[in-house]
Amino acid sequence: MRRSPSSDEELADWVSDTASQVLGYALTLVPRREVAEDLVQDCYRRLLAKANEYDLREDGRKLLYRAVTNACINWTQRHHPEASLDQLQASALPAGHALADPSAPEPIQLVMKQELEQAVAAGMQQLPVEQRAVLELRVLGHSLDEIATAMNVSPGNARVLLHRARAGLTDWLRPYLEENAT
Amino acid sequence: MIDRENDDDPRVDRLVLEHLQRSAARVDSQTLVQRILAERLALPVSTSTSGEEPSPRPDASSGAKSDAGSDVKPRAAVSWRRTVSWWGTAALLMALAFLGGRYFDHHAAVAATALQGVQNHHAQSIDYYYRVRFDPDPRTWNPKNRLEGHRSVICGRAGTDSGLTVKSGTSGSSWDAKRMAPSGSPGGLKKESGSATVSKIFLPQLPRSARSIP
Repeated sequence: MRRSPSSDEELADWVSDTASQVLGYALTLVPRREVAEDLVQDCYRRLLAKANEYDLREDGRKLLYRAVTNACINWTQRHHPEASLDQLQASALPAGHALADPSAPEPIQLVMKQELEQAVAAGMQQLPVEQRAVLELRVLGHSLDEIATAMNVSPGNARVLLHRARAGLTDWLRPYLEENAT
Repeated sequence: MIDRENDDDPRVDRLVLEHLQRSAARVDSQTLVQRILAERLALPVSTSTSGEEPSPRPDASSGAKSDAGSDVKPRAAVSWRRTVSWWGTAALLMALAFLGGRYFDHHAAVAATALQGVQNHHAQSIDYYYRVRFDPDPRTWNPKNRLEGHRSVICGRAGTDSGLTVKSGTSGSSWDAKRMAPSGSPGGLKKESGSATVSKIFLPQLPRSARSIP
């Protein structure tokens, strides 16, 4: 069904509202920022070109995540190796970021928090990009059917990918999770 | 709606969600938004609100350019123009080569012009020394045909399967015949060059000096 054209202001607002989240999501799938920006911009361009055919407020986010997921997975599968863990850990959190905050927690808690965040980033990075995308889309609120559609796999395959991603990340984070539990 | 699996640790999902939120919070998407909107609205770069120059890809790597932005409009347009330009140049060069080859091709000749030139040349009162170049088609060559006769008769055989076209009828001179085979064009003849062969048919008629013409 063809919808009435969206105004430029509405499109601009929608882009501004979604760009940060989508770019942040893309950055978890591709290691380089300029590549992620290129991919996201291209996905926006293609989606906005058909803005009159969709209700972007309702469906745009799903369509955008679907396009970005495919673009990032395709790019990642064509480019190896990915970013090293050293690079990832170096860029995960700026040095002294939290220490400058006067409301920061105790140093030991801060260090543990930073370690856990870095471990999550590293654990995500060690997952295959398909599993990473499935897990991230899942925690972002997409259903398995939507994820399967977005990634061009069957719902059963999407479920398997999700299970493997969770299991892999749980194994990776087990020392930190057990430490926090105690 | 999320249907949570029973055997999954909810802490993992929460950590992943926080990881995504941190990733989104770290990025400054202003430049990207400006680029997207500028591309959407086809606005010039200088109209951005921040005053910064939202260049399409300020520091994109070559890998990103070749893959990620392959469908981005400016790049696609440039690529399309390059492709058209390349093929246009190639087509132009091929056309020039074809026309040049046609211009420098001396194999094609018009029968009337060639025979007229030969006749005019032979009409001059000078002695001729010819060398026979005769290479008949064995499928059509009749060994009994000695190809003797008046010059006009021999010339009249041009374009036939015998291939022998020109012969001087001057008494006491040597013989010459250039093989001319019918060309593809109507009424045209094709000169053929190659190693000289003296047909045994003419050997008895040729003076010894005519067998080796410099």
